[in-house]
Amino acid sequence: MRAKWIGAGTVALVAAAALTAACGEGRAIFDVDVYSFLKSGADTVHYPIPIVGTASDSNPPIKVGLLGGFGKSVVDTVTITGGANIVNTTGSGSVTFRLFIAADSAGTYSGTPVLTAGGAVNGPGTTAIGGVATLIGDSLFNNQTLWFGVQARVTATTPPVTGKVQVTALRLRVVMKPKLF
Amino acid sequence: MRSTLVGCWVVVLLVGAAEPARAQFSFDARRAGMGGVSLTRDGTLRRYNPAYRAVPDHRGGGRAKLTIPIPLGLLQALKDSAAFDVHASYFNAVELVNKVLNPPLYLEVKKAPIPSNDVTFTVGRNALVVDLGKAQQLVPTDEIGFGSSSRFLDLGITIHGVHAGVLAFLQEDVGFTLGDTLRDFLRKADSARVRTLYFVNVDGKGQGGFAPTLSYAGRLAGGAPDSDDGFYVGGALHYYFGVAYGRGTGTTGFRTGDTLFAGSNPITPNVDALVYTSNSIGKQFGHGVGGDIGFAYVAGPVELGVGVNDLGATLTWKDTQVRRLVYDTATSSIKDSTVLNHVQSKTKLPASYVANVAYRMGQGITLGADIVDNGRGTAEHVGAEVRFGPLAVRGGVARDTRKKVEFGTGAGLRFGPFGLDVGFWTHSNSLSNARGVTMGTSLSIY
Repeated sequence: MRAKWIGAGTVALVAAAALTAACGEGRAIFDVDVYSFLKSGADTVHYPIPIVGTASDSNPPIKVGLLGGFGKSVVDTVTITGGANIVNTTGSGSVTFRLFIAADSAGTYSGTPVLTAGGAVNGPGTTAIGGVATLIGDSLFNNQTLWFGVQARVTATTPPVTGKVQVTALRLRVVMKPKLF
Repeated sequence: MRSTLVGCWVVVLLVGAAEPARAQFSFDARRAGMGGVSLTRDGTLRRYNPAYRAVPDHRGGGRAKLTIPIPLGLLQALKDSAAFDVHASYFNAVELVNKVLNPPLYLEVKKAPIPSNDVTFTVGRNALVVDLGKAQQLVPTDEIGFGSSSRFLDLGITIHGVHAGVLAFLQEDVGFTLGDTLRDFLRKADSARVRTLYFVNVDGKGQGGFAPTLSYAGRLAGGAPDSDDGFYVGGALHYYFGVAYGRGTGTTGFRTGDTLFAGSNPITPNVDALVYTSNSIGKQFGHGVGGDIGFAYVAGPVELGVGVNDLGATLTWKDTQVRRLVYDTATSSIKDSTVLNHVQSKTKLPASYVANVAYRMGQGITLGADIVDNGRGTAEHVGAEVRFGPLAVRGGVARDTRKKVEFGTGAGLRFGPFGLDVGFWTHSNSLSNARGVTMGTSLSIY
């Protein structure tokens, strides 16, 4: 996909990138609706925890394509805003929604989550959770393709704990100083 | 690869965006101070009006034998050169392009403001909005392009007003027009849509050759032998031999797929162009006939003239090839196929003209105006000069080829055969909607 976007001479995007670079002291701001990518089947993580203890369930990472031409730009700040519903069916404990971002699929869940938000669950019910995280100068976001992984980490005190974490919103705001060459 | 492509588009889209205003540039500070008008019978008049080849220089002097620009702007450009390090974080492509559009020979006393706003990209699985902010004004709504028609060589002999010789000509013209979808995407921050073609129309042409020429310029009536007064006519007949020509016209861009960012086939490149080229370059010439015509009338303080070049200059190329370039999605490459070969095609040299009027009111006051079309747009200039002994004060107004009004003012000092002039003029030769102001300085030898 990366090769197609760049190699094909995508007029609009490259022109926009060029104009962005032309804006002198101006910044390039990416407002990415990650949730729109997750909606294709990766916005929900089901968690069946049969015994006392802590376990995690994850979905396969989802690829999110950004724009090309910003590989050498300087990332200023990254703000991640997420919201989810914990829809618990049985059991009690705590459920934590964890968001992972990586440059490749295989390593998505091997790092540290960039956003965590959680809450206690006790029997059937829905709990809304949310959180905001800010990263400074993270060059990960120079990549044109990012992989997003959503994980539910559950600590069961009264098993079985079953239910799902359903993402309701996930946005990424990347502010960078564009540099094309 | 990435840098190269981006760099190419920087050049193509940004350089082209403001090119048509180049006609404002002059090496003569006197002319700049009068908004671009010339009150002397200089090269522009003689280039476009064949009658002026017979009109002697004005007896009151005023036409310099040599004008040397004083390049104060080069010092400024050298001082600012660090700003053009493309690897530096503060590099600004617009500023670099502005230097190309407005060569830094003269001092830029007021730079046109450059947009320096944030640009926001809103990205979703099926959404892409690019909000360029104030930089949206840099996205052209009309055709952008560049071109010229020049006679870079004119050799021959002149006897009693009859000139026989040969001239060499070169004409090039390249234009880009953003398609509606691409223009709205960049200029109005419209969201990109699925299954939509985003494209640029491209049309470029270049041709060159030589033309044996027979011309006449002379005074038909009026005026004493020692006077400039009279009615002058001039005409030239050219037989054009085209050495080579090429033309390309078509569209280039891309078509979005079923989804913008998550589909298996997010975009498909789109190239569809016809390319015309003359076969047997240098062996088989294009042929055509054209002419220049003009007149000039000088009556005491009043002078006016009209001249047209390359009237009816159509070249017929008997042996041309027509190829079609199409992007093949199956092989992800551009397919080049011959559509027609050894066919005849025709090209035109654009007609260019000048119309001028000058009025020497006495007491050192001279008024002048002209309209010049060099084949790529019309520019109008009106200006005046008032002399107080060795001091000259000047002012003028112009409408450039982009229909923007510009202003000029200046002054000069002349001591015997030497003159020092300074001229300020506004210009729109920048990627900005606001004007810049340039100060030109030149030394003239009379």
